[in-house]
Amino acid sequence: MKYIMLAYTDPAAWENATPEEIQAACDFYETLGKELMESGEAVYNAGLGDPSHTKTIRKQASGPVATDGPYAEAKEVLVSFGIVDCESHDRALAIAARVVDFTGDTVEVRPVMDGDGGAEM
Amino acid sequence: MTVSTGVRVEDLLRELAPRVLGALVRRYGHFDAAEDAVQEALIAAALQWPKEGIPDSPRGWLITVASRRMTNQLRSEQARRRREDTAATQIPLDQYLAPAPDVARDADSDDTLILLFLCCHPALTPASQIALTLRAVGGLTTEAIARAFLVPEATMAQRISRAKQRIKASGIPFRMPPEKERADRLHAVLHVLYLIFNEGYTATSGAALQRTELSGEAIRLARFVHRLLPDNGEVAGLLALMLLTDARRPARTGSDGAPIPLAEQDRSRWNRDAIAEGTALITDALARTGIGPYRLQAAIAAVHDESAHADETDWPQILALYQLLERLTDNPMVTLNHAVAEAMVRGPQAGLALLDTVDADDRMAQHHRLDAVRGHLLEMAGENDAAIALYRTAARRTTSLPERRHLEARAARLAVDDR
Repeated sequence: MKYIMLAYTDPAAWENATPEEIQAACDFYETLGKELMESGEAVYNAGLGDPSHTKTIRKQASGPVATDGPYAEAKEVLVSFGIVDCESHDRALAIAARVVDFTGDTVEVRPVMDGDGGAEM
Repeated sequence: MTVSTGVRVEDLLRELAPRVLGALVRRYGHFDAAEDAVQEALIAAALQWPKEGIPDSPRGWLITVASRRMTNQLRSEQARRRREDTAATQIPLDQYLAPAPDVARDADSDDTLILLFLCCHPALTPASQIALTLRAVGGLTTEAIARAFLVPEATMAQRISRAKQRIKASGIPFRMPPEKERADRLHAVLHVLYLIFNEGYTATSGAALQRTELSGEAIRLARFVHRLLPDNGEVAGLLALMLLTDARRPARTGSDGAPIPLAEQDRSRWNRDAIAEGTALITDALARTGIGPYRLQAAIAAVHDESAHADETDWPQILALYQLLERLTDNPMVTLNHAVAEAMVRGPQAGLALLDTVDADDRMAQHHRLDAVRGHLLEMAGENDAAIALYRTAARRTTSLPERRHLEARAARLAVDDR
């Protein structure tokens, strides 16, 4: 079963992170990525660019319109995401808990819908 | 290269894969290295044979090429290996002295069975058992397996390599499991084949198309095991169950990929040959060997498949079979199906009463299928509002997109009827 993990962080904390903290976070993700690759659970993961690069597109009367933001005053911004394929929901939560424990980020875990039809009734 | 040569080469390679691997492991030990070498030899053959023709002895060619790769690899790793404590994984001397690989076909068949036991070893996780079985016994490439399970090739390669490391570390020998373990181990093999079948069977559309090949592969492997163990009733039952279920594939999904319930399927599209073969198998197995969980599920599938129209389904017989099945297994999913049969024979209230018994089962907590079945029985009872609410809950809970669409459609249909 595949799960997506969406990690959110406080933009101020991100802004004010020391180089050592950034390095530690990179090391953590490298180790975790390696572990998930070795366990055969990694599907994809990536960190995201600075929130200042974000554009949001919304449908308006005139059609889709792009605006800047979400803005820096947002309490939490999406900072990275990953998809894992693992045996159980509990396992996905355990992986997310490690991220939370180390980074202090908030992590949302949700199952990814698949195209399979399920069994007959 | 003509298309037919290509197909022939692929089939031939898949057929030979486990026999070549068995021969190599018997000759050199080192299951993990042998498995890599066979995979390389298969890839070499897949490139070379369609252009240059199939060699006179395809099996000999593969063994030669794989042996060469393996000895090269082992030689280069020898220094490292010497440092390792290999006591646990050493192959007993008598296996080095086992007959040369070019012996009778019977030994080959035994090897394939031993490989299946090894790949489905209980020390491995289900995901690893499936991946390793498809590669080592099914002869599929890592790339094809990764595509079927929609994960990156590197991830699948890692699953396979971990599974092999696990086998190596556990010191599981390359031989038939002892007699007293064999029934349990065979059960594990059948379960893995069943999982592979379901992975393919539930696939519906788009990227899922390649997954449907998995059911064909599961049937091929089940046929093989049945040939080796023709007197084992559960093996026959599983093969029959797969054939009788797969027979409905052409009718079980709509053009939009949404599942069509059994009662609404166009039965003229069912595969008659598969039904005939499955029915003959299960009839014979029940007569000769008695009952077991796969045999009972196959018998139920046969009763469904024999009815030309959903209204003609012999529900009392299906109910009796589910009652037996429930006594043999501890699986709340069986109870759900049992409840549907109960409702068809004794009315929806009887079915609903049976469903109440699984409410407390942790395995069913939050499970969309319990809501879906309860909604179905409430719809039968004319309690449409409650049914709509349950269909919607089930739609939110399922992680299958086609199933979600189907459940939402049922809720919407009832809501319209209600007006």
